[in-house]
Amino acid sequence: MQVTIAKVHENLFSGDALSLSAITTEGEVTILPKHEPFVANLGKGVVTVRTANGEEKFEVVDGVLEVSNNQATVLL
Amino acid sequence: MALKDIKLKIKSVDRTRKVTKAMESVSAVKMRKSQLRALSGRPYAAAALSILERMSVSLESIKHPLTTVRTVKNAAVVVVTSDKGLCGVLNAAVIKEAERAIASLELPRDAISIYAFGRKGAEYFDRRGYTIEGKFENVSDDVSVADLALVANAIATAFVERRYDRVLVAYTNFRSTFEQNAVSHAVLPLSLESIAPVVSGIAPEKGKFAVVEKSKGPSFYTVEPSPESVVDRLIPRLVSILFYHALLESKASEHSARMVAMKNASDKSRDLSKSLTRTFNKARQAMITREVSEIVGGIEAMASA
Repeated sequence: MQVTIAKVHENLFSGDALSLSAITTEGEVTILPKHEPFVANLGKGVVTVRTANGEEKFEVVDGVLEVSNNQATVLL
Repeated sequence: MALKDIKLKIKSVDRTRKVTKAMESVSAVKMRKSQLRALSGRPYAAAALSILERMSVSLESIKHPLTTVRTVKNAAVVVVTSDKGLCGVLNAAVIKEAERAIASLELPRDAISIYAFGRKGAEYFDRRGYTIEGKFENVSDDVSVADLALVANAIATAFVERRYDRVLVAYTNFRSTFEQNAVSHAVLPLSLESIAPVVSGIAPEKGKFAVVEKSKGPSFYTVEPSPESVVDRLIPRLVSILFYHALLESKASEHSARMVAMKNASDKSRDLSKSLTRTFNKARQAMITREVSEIVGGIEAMASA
């Protein structure tokens, strides 16, 4: 699954990942590969990306998560 | 011209060339950096737009305050120019484009507020009696979205409060190192049709950074908590991206325009210095010839005496 975490002026993360966990305004979600198309508002919390080489965590205040075509995009 | 004068002139032309050469190299470096920066915002803008696009069915029914079209009684124009000159027609072109956009609004002068990024635009519109609502000078090359957020929010709030019914932006679009166009378009009220070409045009048409990629999204989404709330979040982001993008494009354009202008100046001064050296050599030769003929004339006169 391709994951992109981007701010307007910089890319925080871009690459292959096994899963992505985030806190949406409705509760916590974990996106696994081949997740159905999904859009959600993110709440304050930590976005965790698990890759083959370990975990990466990103502090998030708000943002939008979009999943489509086996691709997850987090816009901060 | 006396020999000494020509020599001085050559020296001064050479000195000018040193300056223009230096400015050229500096601009070249800055241009590359600002091109990179202009490009880095593109995936974000494209993603935000594509999410919005796919929810556009609901967007029409939502009536977000930033997308409401009203009859235009008051308008704001954001003009992005440079602080300094020496960059060819760049600023003149933006100002002309802004004037054209203002004229097309058909509003009295006092119904228009100007937000000026860059001293040149601020000076121009100030002299002509427009209300300068905001003036921003010395905007650094690596301006961040957070810096812009204050202005973008102020403008958006004013729009929501109906102090402006339309917000335009005039800036220079960077197409390639040798080609920059002054463009203007409406930012508010926000509409998908008006911003789609802007977002797709974020990459330059030619050159190193000209890449085009297009991803197709699915036709439906599971949206949490609701399309409205997601759109609510995306729209202010897109508005600030549009301003941010205009600023970055203008920066890239400014540096490339200056680089080209300085290159022309350097070339011209090289030509001038060459032709002056030729004049100098001619004058020197003429002087030597005159001196020799005077000496020869003197000897002749002495010999015949």
